[in-house]
Amino acid sequence: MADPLLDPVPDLGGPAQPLLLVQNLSRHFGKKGSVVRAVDGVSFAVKKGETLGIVGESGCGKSTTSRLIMGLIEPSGGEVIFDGEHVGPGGMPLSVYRRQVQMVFQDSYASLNPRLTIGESIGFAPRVHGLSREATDARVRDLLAAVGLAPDQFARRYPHELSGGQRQRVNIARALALRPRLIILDEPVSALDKSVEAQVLNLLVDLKAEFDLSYLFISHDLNVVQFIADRVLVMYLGQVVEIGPVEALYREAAHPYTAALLASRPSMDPDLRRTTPPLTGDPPNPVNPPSGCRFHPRCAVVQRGCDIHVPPLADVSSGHLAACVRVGAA
Amino acid sequence: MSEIASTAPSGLIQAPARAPAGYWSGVFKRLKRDRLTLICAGILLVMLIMILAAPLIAPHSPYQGSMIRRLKPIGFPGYPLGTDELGRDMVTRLIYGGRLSWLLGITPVVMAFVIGGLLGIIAGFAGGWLGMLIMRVTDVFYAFPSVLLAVAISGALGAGIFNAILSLTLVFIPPIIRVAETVTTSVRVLDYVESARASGASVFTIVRVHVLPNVLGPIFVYATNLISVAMILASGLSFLGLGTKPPEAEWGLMLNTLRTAIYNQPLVAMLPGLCIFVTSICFNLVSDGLRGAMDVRS
Repeated sequence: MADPLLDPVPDLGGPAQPLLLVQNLSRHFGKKGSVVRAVDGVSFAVKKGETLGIVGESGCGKSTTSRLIMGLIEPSGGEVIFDGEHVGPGGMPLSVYRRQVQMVFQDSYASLNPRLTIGESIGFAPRVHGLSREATDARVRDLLAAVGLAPDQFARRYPHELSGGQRQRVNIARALALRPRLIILDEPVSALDKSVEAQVLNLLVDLKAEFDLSYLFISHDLNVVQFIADRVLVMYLGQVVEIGPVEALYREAAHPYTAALLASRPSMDPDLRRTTPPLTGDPPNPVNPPSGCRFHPRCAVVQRGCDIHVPPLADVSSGHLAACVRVGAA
Repeated sequence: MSEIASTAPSGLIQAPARAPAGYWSGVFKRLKRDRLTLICAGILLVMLIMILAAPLIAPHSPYQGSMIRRLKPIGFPGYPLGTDELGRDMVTRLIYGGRLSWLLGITPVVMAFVIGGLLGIIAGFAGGWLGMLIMRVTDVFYAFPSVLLAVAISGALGAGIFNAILSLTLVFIPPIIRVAETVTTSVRVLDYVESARASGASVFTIVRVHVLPNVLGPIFVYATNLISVAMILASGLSFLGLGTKPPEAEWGLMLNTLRTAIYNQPLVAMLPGLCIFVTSICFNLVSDGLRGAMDVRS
């Protein structure tokens, strides 16, 4: 029954070994003179069994980071280490790595081939990896049931017959088809209604326990990240500005940018509603980022020297780091 | 936020009760509602049957003329559409003429669809220097107006049906390459192709399963659109003496030889033109109808 090809890849480094380690990852687009540093020296780790949320404004490099980790685009620099092993030439082959890391995209319609039935879409990857037709069919049925869709009725349907929430469930089932250990969720609920969003989030929580998964959850919705994530990473203009446990970071944001993001959430209490925007202006052009701390032109508590010195990530408290001069000095 | 109420039913989500609808059954359903497309397709079908069965249904010989019954008007006894400048029956000539006109209209497009589609999909999916090379060579062909290019190639190769088909094929390859490249590029960046790459599938598998089925439709629709252009160009080549040669019956050639009679029998002289006009309009409308029916979201 168990196909050696498609059982989950066993844990190698033990529970203390981070599942995913990203070191100094960079991706620059464009030619000399107008280089866009979409991702610029990003380092972080995803522990086994945790959900790491990545938040930031549009264009801050969240999606580029996810595609770099998936190996869909080539990095300009840095490396990805999966369960203690370097990914790429000389280390873990990309084919082995890709079975262990899968992705769910934001646009549930564009991520399903309109000419394939739901069953064919989910079964595509197992078939590519050599699973027999019967075993694939059985797996497709199990996966559809796991994401809450009646297998008999959905396997033979086409994507345009499904609602957005149902399609996103199918995408999640497809991501699970290779029994991965890490799933990158790139804005998986951003295009869904609020009620459907809640169902899909609950489903994700359940699946994580059932399949022993770790998540990298990318979103611009701070409430969603607070609900689902264990730790949060805040990106600004291709760099990490703050990373820490979700409670600590939401209670006392150490970086002014994180504080502004949190303050921009609409409050349920009318008395607490603010009239002035916490953050003004657009993010600067990444072709020509500001000198020193990249956030200083928009920072409310900017000091002398912010435009010269690049602040390193410094400890705020245990496991909570922020890249701001005020953290280093305190 | 931690106590999000689950509004999902406790069991599995059930799909609506109607039967699963495949892609093509949806296309046919939409086509059935499109009366104009159906009428045009019907006209084309009748034409096709007539030209295939030409020897069986044609009342006279297409080549046997008579000096005493030249240029008879429409409605002449025994010759319902009159006779041409050599006294040959117009009904017979038009039916036989359709054979060559259709051949010259469809064959180049089919050949260009295969060659141009292949090159365009390669250019669109591979990108990089290979795509660049294919597209820049295509641009060179684009520098010439299609009529001029067809005339130039036909002129260089000499008159004849085979040469006319060859020149028309060469004329239609560049626009099909361009459409195929554009469609492939737009499909290549979609998330389901990314997802297939992330699953570790080979390039060949991705193209076969995810790219081809989604790009062939639009390219096919564009190619059917070109059939009418091919017919008109083929007629033009024949008119200039570069396509078919007398006494062969072909609509463009008939239009050419009958032009001397335009003052004596204007209605008869216009008949081949009317055939070209009706056929190309029908092909265009069917192609438009297909495009509409193949759009899943409509």
